Amino acid sequence: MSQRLAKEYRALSKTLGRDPEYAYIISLAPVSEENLRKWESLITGPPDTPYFGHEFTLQIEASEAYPLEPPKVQFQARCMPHCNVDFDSGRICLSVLDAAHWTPAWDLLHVVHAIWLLLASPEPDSPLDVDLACLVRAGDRSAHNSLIAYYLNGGSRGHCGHVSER
Amino acid sequence: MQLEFKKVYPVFSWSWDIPGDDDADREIGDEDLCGICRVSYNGTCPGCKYPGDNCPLVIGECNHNFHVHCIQQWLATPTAKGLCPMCRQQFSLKRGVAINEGQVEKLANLLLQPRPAALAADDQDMMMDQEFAVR
Ligand SMILES: [Zn+2]
Ligand SMILES: [Zn+2]
Ligand SMILES: [Zn+2]
Repeated sequence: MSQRLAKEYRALSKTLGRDPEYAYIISLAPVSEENLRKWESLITGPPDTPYFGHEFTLQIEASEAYPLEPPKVQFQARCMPHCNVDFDSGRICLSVLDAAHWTPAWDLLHVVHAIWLLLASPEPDSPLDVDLACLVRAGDRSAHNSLIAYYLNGGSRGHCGHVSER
Repeated sequence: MQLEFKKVYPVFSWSWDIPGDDDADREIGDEDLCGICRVSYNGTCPGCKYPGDNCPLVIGECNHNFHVHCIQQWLATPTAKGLCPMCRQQFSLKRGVAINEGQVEKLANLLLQPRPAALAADDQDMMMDQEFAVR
């Protein structure tokens, strides 16, 4: 069904840059026009979050079965400190990316939007980053936000993002 | 003057007659696209070459329409759980609609699959969840 990806690509060229709802998407396009299964998206962080003012790359891969199967989407490795993202791999834990919850009515734009919304609302009950999840659970937003800001501004992070002193 | 016809190119135009599909309440530019492959109802699914009877349209009880081949493929996936991709209600063919006749058998074995009770309960939870809820 790769025609469907071509359709999405065409529709996006009309939507992006025109719809203010998606103003945060700098780009969402196939890496090369030769292969419509591999996409990349550059997004800016949502306002009122420590991610605001930073740009993030999402790597997207649609299988042969897309849209019957969800696309695989992850952040660039070691770029996204977030309680539902594995920092080292960039893997994202989000229901729309889960085959059990996916529906072919959704598309790549929908997925990118869901991920962008996730940045503003971390979900500590399904954590991939234990340290950040602990801070969210403890309700310590300011410690949570300043730790993220520290990482985003080049602060060093141990090789394993999961080490916590317990 | 004498006219001579050398060749005749017949051109036909057609479209599916979809009951309850009122042009008046549709937004401009909002084409009728199959929610799965995003091709027009009057076009073909990605697997077919010729539109029309070879790649028919079906109408759901929930009023969501798909190429029969597209909805067949979706319902055959283990994750579909018999649900309409658009509204997540149990998908079934609308009764008494001419287009659906002849397609009933194609979908029969996909629609009648009994669902495990546990899965059904899970769906209920999911419908309550927000679309973007985290696992
Ligand atoms: Zn279709
Ligand atoms: Zn077909
Ligand atoms: Zn429906």
